[in-house]
Amino acid sequence: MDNHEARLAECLRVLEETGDLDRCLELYPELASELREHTVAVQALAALAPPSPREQPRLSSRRLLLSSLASREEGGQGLLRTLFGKKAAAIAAGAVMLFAAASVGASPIETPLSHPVNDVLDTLGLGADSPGKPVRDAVHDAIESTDPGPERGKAVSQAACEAAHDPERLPENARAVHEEKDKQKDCDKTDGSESDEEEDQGAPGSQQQGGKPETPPGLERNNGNGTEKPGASQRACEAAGERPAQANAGGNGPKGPKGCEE
Amino acid sequence: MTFVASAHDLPLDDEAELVRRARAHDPEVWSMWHDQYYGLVHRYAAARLRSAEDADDVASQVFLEALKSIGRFTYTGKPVLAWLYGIASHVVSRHLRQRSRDAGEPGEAVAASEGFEDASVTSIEVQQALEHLSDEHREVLVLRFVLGLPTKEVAQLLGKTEAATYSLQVRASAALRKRLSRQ
Repeated sequence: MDNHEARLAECLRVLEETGDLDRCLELYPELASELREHTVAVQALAALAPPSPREQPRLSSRRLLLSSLASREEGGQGLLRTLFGKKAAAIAAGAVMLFAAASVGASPIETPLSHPVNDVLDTLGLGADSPGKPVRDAVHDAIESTDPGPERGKAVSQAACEAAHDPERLPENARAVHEEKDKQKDCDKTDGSESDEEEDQGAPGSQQQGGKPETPPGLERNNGNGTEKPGASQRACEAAGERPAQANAGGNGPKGPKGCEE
Repeated sequence: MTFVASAHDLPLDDEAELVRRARAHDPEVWSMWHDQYYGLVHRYAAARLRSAEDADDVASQVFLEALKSIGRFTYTGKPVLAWLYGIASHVVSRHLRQRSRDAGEPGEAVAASEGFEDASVTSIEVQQALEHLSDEHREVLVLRFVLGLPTKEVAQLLGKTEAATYSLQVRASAALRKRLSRQ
């Protein structure tokens, strides 16, 4: 470092500490010209000062960091999700549902209360913690009390329908709405047309302003207020009814939506 | 901004413990680091990129890369912010190179000024002059005079003594003025 640079550096230190350019000039008057140029450059640099970060991107960044952290904690599970994404998850869910249908309806191997069954019920919005617990329990009871085969499919579908329409088992806020509905009518229907109609009548909160359901028909999940019960029960009926149909491709069991008929 | 004194209000000894917890993927530590350092990382990125949106992406990327590389990070007593700043500098440079390739001309790399009110020709010229300086000169000018960090903190981020950092400011300022006089 030459003497000139050392004096300028000292001047910058004094300037930073005191903010007084005149003090520097008093100490080093021979540096006046260079200090003036430096000051102009510093002002130009200060004009580049960026605005403060916006709140929304900051929060998004934080969320992304924490979710990435969680993924790492999950290890292989997180890696799988990263590698294969939602499509793989959807395929896996489909495979689990098919396996569950086969095992519930016709498998010669006893699989009481197996995990796939729970997964199917979770998918239908009838998980253990959901308001659809009575339906879940009824399905499990029916599985336990029957032998594998076509009769189990019928028993499961009937139990699911009855449990879904039992006002005593519904959440309080859903009872009033549901008492007006015809249990047998819902369990007997063979297509989705009535499901739409019932939702139009009984569940204003589940619709958007345009009158269309927010989710595609048949894919609605129970939202906890009971208004989506018919949709969930219909899915339960269909799923239960299809199990023997899929497992017994030879036609021994009830086929498709007829699983809801009795 | 005084990160040395305010860094989680803990003595530097405790920063070693924080690094250990961060290595173990402790979300509390990562949240705290994000809360404390996101602002400076973002402002640094925005100062060099002249784009608030790009700075959003880069700042987020910096923390993700930090998470990815924490296993290789060895705490030697230097502030964690210096490590994050090193990652930020690298990510910004990579972003600028990509921007140059996309634009087809090196001069275009710093011309993006969306989100900045002050996009005058002078500002763009200064920005371009900065990007033509050596890394060391550019960094000291950005940290000290664009972001306004005290020399003591700049010295820690750059891994230099304060005296050396003042001298670096002198040389960097002269280099910038020389560059601007040529444009």
